Amino acid sequence: METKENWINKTLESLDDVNRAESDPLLFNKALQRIQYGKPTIISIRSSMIWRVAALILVLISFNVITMVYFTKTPGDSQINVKSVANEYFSYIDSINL
Amino acid sequence: MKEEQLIGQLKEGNPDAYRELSAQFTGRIYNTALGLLQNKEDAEDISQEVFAEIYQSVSQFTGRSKLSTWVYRITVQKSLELIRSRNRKKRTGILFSLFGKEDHLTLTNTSPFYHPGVKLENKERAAILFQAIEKLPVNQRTAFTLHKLENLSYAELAEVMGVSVSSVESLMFRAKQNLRKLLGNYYDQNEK
Repeated sequence: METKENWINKTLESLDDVNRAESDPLLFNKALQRIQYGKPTIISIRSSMIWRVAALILVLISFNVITMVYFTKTPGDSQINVKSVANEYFSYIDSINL
Repeated sequence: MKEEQLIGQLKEGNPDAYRELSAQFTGRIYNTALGLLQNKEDAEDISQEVFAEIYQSVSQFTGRSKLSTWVYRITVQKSLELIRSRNRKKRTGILFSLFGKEDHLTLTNTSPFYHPGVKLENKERAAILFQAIEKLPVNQRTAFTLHKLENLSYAELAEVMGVSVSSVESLMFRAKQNLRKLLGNYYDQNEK
């Protein structure tokens, strides 16, 4: 078992005769691009954020549909309201067919 | 190309001069940044920043110091800026530093740093040493890293860091003292 002092000394010496790390050969070219165009701006959006936005849109559409179809003053109008909802969201289909 | 000639041509924006600069200094810049930041991607990013800074500020370089001293100085400054901005973002780190053990060294399972230039038989020890170096105060860390990885003499270190040679001697002494303490604690917890 190595003694503590010996282990510490060897660990401190572990960087002796270390070679210089080699960089990416294209590093200078990348630097030239940075000089010319500036540092690239990275915009990262978490996938959880995308899912949250999608879920929110779905909730809003569902709420809209429910409101239009079910919350009517006259019971007979629910059929008409289903048609008007479909018309509202899918009216572009008729224009494509035309 | 002689240094004075190179500096003159850099100031004129001569592309060949920049290629010459790259040939002479890319390795030094990258190795210094890698040693301080202990991360390959960060080191590459900072190396590019250093070249951009050289391009922007070379007209202000008076030539009072050596070109290499100036380049090392920019590299160290850029690297330390990144370290400081990271430390500012670590909000919870403040709590740990108040209540945790400052000299507690644990090798985390997530990516210990293996410097590519270290000999194979020393890789594990060097990884532990780099963890300990990361815990040193910034000036001690800079002095120790540059001395070990770039073989800068105390006189060269003094020029790069803008301090006296006796200050460098003091920094190195304290760095080694602190490293011994950190490594001793690590040994007591892991190697016994």
